[in-house]
Amino acid sequence: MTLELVLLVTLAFLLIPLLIRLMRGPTVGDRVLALEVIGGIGTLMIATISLTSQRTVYLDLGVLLALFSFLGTLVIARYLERGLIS
Amino acid sequence: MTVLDLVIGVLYLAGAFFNLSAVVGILRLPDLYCRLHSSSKNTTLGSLLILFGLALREMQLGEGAAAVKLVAIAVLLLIVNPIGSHALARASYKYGVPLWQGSVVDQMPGA
Repeated sequence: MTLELVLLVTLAFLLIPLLIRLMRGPTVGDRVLALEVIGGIGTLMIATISLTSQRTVYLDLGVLLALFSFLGTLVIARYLERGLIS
Repeated sequence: MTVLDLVIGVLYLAGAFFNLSAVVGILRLPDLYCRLHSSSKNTTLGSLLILFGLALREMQLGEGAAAVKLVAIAVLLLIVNPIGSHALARASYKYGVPLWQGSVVDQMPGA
């Protein structure tokens, strides 16, 4: 389990530069990109936590986070491209 | 400390390295398109490596269903990640985000 805890701390430190990019991204696309990568790293962290705490149910939350991060990116990209969502 | 532990450790290390390179690229590169180029490929490969490492660990612990679910998450990320990056780059180009001034060629002019 020690290996997974080290991996969890490493992934948590990877979030800091993404938050900096999220704060001062010059365009909307930079902020959406930072949010997408934060969602991906959050999925990995949820999978790691579900292993260290021995609860398999948490993996469903990982699937949901990945799916909704992708949907948010797609909706914002469509809104930027056409000016309307539907 | 078996061989399987060593393989899992190497998978974790490689995945963390690819994710780190993606994050450094997102923080340091000059342009939105360069940042997308850095993030899409590196996060896909890094996430796949880490998820396969976790699946091997679950199989070592005897949790086969969790390993199958982790592989399903890996396949989902493999499909979803390039589509999101492509849609974001296309929408940003049509929205009018300028290229970096040191860019050499624009292969989608006037779109």
